Order: sequence, then C-alpha cells, then structure tokens
Amino acid sequence: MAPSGSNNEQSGQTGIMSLRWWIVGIGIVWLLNAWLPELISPYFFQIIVLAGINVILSVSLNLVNGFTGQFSMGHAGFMSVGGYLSAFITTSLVASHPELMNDPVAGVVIFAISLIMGGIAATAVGYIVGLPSLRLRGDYLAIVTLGFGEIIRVIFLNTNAVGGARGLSGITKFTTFGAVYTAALITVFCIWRVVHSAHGRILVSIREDEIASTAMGVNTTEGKVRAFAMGAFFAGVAGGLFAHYLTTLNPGTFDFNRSFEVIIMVVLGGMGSISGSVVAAIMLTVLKEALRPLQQLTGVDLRMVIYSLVLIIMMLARPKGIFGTSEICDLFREKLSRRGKHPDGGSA
Amino acid sequence: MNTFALRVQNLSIVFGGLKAVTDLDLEIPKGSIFGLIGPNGAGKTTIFNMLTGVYTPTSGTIIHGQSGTSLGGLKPYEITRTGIARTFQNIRLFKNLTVLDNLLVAMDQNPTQKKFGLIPTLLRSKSLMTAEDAKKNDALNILKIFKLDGRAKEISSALPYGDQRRLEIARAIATGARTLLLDEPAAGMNAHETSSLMDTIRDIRATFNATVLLIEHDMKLVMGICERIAVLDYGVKIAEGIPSDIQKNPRVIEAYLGKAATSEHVKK
Repeated sequence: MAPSGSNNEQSGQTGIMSLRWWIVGIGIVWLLNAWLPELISPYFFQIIVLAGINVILSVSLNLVNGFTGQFSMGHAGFMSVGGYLSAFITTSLVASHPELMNDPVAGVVIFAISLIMGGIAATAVGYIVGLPSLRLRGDYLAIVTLGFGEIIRVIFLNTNAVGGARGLSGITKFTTFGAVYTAALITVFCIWRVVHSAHGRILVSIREDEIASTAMGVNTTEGKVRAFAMGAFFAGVAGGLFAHYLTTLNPGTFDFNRSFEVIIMVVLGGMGSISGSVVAAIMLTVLKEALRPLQQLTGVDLRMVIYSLVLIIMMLARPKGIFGTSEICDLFREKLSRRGKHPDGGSA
Repeated sequence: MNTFALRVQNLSIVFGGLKAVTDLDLEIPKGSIFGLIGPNGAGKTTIFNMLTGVYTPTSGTIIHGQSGTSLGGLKPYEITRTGIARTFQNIRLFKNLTVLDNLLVAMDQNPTQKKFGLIPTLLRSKSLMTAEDAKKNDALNILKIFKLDGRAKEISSALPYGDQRRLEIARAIATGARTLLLDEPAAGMNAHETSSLMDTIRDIRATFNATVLLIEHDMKLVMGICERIAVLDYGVKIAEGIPSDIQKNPRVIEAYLGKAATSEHVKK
C-alpha cells in the first residue's frame, strides 16, 4: 500500500529534510554558479535555468492541485504578475540610478527585493482571486482560474506602462544559475515543510473529503485560500526569475499554454508528490529541448504531439503519475524494507 | 452549567414545498445516550444536518448546553469547534491518510491545541515539535481506547468496516467535542461488531464524559444502550421516552408497521 502524502517520518530536524542540508545545498549551488557558465555551452545552460524555474512552478502548483485537490489552471497568470512587477521595479530603478549597475552587491539586493515584491503581488492577486472562486469545486474552479489567467494577460496586453503588446524589454539580466536554484531549493523546502505540518494536514484533508474536513472543524475556505496564495507567491517569484533571464517580457508568453505546461508537470510527476513534480519538471523541460532537432529534421513542429503522446502513455501506464502521492524517498524505503523481508528472494 | 447538552426548540425546515422537519422540540440531557429513530425519510439525518450547520433551519433555535449559546448562523466548522462533532451515515474518512493522520487532522482543530503560524512551521521550532509529539501521543491514547492503536500506521481505507466506523467516532472525539452525533453507527455491521460498538459507545461516554445522540435502525442497539429515545415520522416527533415505553407506544408501532387491521376489515 502506498504511503500517504503527508506525515511519513520526517518528524524532527534530522534526515535529508533538516535545515542544515538545505543550507549546504544552497552553498553548493553558489559554488557551481561561478563555474557552470564556463563549463557548459550557453544552450545547455539555458535548459538548466529553465528547468529550475519550471521546478519552482510545478512544485508550487502541486501544493494547490495535488495536495489541496483544487484544480487551478491560472498559474501562468500569477507568474506574469510576479514577472511584470519585478521587471518593472528593476528597470525603473536601473533607469533612474544607472550607477547601480556597476555595483554587483546592490544589483543582487535589488533583484532579490524585486523578486519578493513580485511574489507578494502574486500572493495578493491569488488571495483576491481565491477568496470568491475557491467556493467553487472541480470543473467550475478550473474554468474560473483559466479565465483569470486570460484576464491578467489581456490586462498586461493593454497596459502601456509595461509595454502593452510590444512587451517589456531592456530588463537587466540579473537571473543567474545560483539565483534560480537557490529559489528552487527554498521553494521545495518551504512547501515540503508546510505539507508535512498541521497546515499540510488541513490541505490534504480538504483533498480527501471536504465535507468530513469541515465536520472536523477545518475552515476549508481559509485552507484553500492559503494554499492558493502560497502557490501564487512562488509562481510570482518564478515569473521574476523568468523575466530577468529572458530580459524581455511579452504577454503572449503567459497564455494558458504556459499554465497547461505546468499542470502537465504536476500530473506527470504525481499529484501530491513534491519529488515527482521536481523530476517531471526537469524531465519535460529537457524533453522539449531534446525534441528540437526532430523539428528541424521534419520541418513540422512535432514537439507538442510527442509531448501529448508521452502524457497519454504515462497516464495509461501510471495513472497516478510517476510517484503517485508518495515521495522518491518513500519508494526507496519501501524497496529496502521489502528486500529486508525477503532476503533470499529465491521463491521467484 | 446547563443540565442539557443540546436543546432544540421549534425547529423546522422546509425544502421547496416539503416540510422535512416540523416544530421539533428536543432536549438531550448532558451525559446521556439519546436515540433518534424513525422510518426511512422521517427527517433524522436532516436534523443532524441542521444541528451541525450543514442546513440552515427555516425557523427555530438550537442551543448548545456547554456554552449556552445559540448555534444559529454558525458555519459547520465553527459548530464543531464549539464542541459538537458528528459521524456520517456513509463513512467519510480521509481514505488515503493513515489512521493516525485521520485523528491528527481532527486534533489540529481542537480548540485547546496551540496553533502555529508559517514561520515556526518552516523552521520547525522547538515548541512546535514538542506540541506535535504531544499531539501524536494524545492521538495514540485515543486510538488505544478505541483499540485501534495497533493500526495507527495503516491507511484508513484498508481497515475492516467495523474499525472504520470506530475510527470515525475516534476522530469526532479527537476534535475535542464532547457532544457526539452518530449517524447510523451500526449500519452494515454484523451482530458481533454491533455488540462491540455498544461497548465502545458506553466506554466513551464514561471515559470522556460525552453526550451521545445517535440515529440508528438497529433496534437491539437502540433499545440496549439508549436512555431516552425520540421517534420521528414525517418530520414530526411522535413519541419520546425511555425504551420500554417507546416499544409499547401505539403510535410508534403504527409508524413502523402501519395501522393494525380492525376486526371489520378481517371479516370482509
């Protein structure tokens, strides 16, 4: 029997989920940050950066879609809010104080603050959208969030302050490998800890049975809105990283296809599996690029066709996604314990 | 302190043109085991849904003895936090969660539990971890009373039927509620499971000082453990009293079995 998404071991400050290891991880990221761009080609570097951004997006969406069971289709909307706001902050600051560009420390500080501001703006939008719409269930919520994503896109399309349809260009390229993977590690860490806490139990109980959850005294609306707002925060941060990597923003980048891409990652990885989302995000980002030569060869954009095929095959073979609701470490543990129970394995 | 756990006055609910419950008066004495019976469609579950805030009554008041306040206008989760918890006719466990997690969800909402914000959750502060450990211990103690402690780590949907029913009651207790509304707790149970359920209900009343209001069709259970019984038919209370009186009450017999044929009918 597969273990549940919440509360397997990981009780204390020990093990892989202890704060210590994550600080070490961030340290390693910054060590790599200095060398990596020289070691590999810019093309591969871009794939790695985009994979990191996708990890943030898919893990944060999993909090809403996987753990809380609320099917949101507006993740690109939150991403664009964060992206546009943080890009707007840095571009206007750089325009008014060009000398800041020469100071790397000031640049990093400004960038970090703009990312957090972008995240907070996305959270605020998530809260405003979530409060009325999270009373809806299933398909209805999906439609509302899909509509919200489109509304945000059209608003940006018609706002001249951020370039309207021309897009926002001339954004300073602040995003580095270190920045993306630090954010990704923080995202995974935060969402992991929230999911494996009393707050996470509330979310999972809403997914499992909302009526029973209410009957146990859970304020389900509040729980859903919180998950939604937290997911939106990290989507906003991812949007900021994305904007400062591409250096131009176009409302078209954040259409519903972008939301779907993230949903696909979540579903493929397993709704309610953080490690699944990480693996699927990396896998699909790489797959999309790996299929590029095929496009050049045939002259037809087969990428989405193959993409869909992968999904269909996946859904047939593993309907609950790569990891289902369990984590990668659970699977290893299960395998180990099974081996422990049948040391000889001679019966087979 | 009030002597009743729940007092219902003039409670009515109308769905469209259908009067599901009409002018119901009930007083559930504190610490009692109270049975609510009646034929199918009599409005028993509707009453539960009004008591727990799922339905808003068309008229009437519900007063909670523990706090002395009216439950009118409260949302279901707020009512649970005042100390009234329920189980469901068709079991509603958190199926993919472990037995322990099912209980912990309820315990998190227990008003006596300390709540932690986002920062201590992310940092796993010492006080949070101590509180979590204490919570787990309390949950295991409740499971022990329900003889489910050996199955704490199992996925709840894998439990045998009777255990699932018991877990649902345990979960209701874990919310901190001491007024329990049990909706057909013995439904689908065999005779052995039912008699063990009767012991469990008596046990929790004694251990937790709880008041139990239950809907049940199993007359052996109802007559065996209820101190008082109210009988409902077409949304109207037709009788209330101790079990032996209820068994003899002609209106109750009529509601269940129909009117007895008179001698004239037989002749024809």
